[in-house]
Amino acid sequence: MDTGLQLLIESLLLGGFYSFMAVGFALIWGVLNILNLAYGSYIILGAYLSLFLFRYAGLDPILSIPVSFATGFLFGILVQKLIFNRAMKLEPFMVLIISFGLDVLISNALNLLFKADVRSINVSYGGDSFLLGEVIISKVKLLVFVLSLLLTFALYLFLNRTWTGKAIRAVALDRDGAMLVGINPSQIFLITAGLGTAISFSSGNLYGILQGFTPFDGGLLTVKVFLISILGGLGRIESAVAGGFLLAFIEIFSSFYMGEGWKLFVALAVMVGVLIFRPRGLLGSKYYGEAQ
Amino acid sequence: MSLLVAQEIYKSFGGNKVLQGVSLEVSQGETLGIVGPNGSGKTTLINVLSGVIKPDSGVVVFGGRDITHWRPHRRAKLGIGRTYQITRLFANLTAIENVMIPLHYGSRQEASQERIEEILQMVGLSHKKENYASDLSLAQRKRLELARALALNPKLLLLDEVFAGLNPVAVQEIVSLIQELKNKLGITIVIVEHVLKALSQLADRVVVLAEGRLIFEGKYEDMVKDKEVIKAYLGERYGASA
Repeated sequence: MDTGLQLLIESLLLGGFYSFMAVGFALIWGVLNILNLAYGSYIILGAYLSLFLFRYAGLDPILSIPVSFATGFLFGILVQKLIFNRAMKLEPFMVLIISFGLDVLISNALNLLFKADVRSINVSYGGDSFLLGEVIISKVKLLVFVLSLLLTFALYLFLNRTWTGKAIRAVALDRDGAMLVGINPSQIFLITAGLGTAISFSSGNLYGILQGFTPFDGGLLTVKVFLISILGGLGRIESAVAGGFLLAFIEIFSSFYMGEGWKLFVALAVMVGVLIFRPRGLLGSKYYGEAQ
Repeated sequence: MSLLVAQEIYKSFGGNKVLQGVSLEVSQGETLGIVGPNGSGKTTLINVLSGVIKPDSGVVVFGGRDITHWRPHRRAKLGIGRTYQITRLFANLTAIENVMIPLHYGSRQEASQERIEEILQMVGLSHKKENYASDLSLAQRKRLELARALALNPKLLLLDEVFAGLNPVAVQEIVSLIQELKNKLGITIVIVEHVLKALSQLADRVVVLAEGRLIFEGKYEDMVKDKEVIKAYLGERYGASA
């Protein structure tokens, strides 16, 4: 069996999920200029929500994606209205601290509710896999991959084809310029915060069927979406997708050839390299510091 | 009738008193030129008029409505368009998209292909419509910024140093373009400008700002002979001997 090919396929499958998972984070960062350190916990929140619906309502985590999306959207708008709108008027550093506090709050609340045990959503199709030539492909991973790509593409269409999407891109590019052509940025901020959070919650559903999770996994996920945004750059969906695939390749290959413990080390080392030699990231249209 | 009235506008940044009681009126269809040395408060005044900056005190009235506390996006909807000294286009959007957004959000018009085409045609950019704003030359970006402001169906255009950085040929082209807009569409224009030759061709009336105060108001021809103005630009010695 060709190990290289198997690793390549694994990377692609994981990369698709990573892209979708990070695109909400990159959106919030690019448009609102908020580095939301609670984003990873949002994903875990989505995972627990889908676990809850699976256990008590018998709803498959794939089918409950719309529920997570809607809940995330409302949650994102609420948090933006109650917390970030105020925090954004203060120093940028305050937003960072507040989002960190939110992360601690969410993970501990989940710990109280669900305990610290590793939970998983055991869907009936969870263990199946099939052979494609010499490569083993897990059905769940393939399903998550396809759904991630579809949802990311839907977001791409939304941002490029709808008026609201165009307004979001305009605000991301130039907040003052957007106001001068009649766009109300406060409204766009709310929609973007809602949309980004909806994506995090929905990716939680997918995360939950890929692997087990605990209330405290959010921190690591925040590191990952941060890495992806730096690697790919900000300003376009394509950037998050490029970053997502790149991180997946780095993780899969380095953990196979160097050992599991090395993967984050290698990823962070690459990130430092990117920051030094190509601060806009692979496909970034703007330097993250230029985001207003 | 005055379309735009600014009364006793004061604005300080920290201890720096940038505008100290500026009042001006602009009549319907008129083109008002604002000149003044660097740091005299011209851009701040434009920012107050377009709503980017709130004045410390004073009132801005547009078409009989007090808009002093309106944010820029609401003023845009009323028909106040502006351009920046350094263009503030949406760099990663195409020329078409740059025009389409103000059509939809600003003036609530249908952003039809024909309307977009018409506006781009007006500013002479229809051959560049698919290009990203960031790929255009400076003169083209200035034209696109005009197009973006025109898409608001403006009653008032605030032009902040449109000619800065352009070569004489491009300056003359854009002067003709603005004259055309003025004559065809009857738009009222407030124009801040350092390029006096261009201003002399465009402005019906000129005001001069120096250190946050209006020191002159009148015809362009009179301005260049005015002692106060020469003093403000060239200093005491020249002012006295002129």
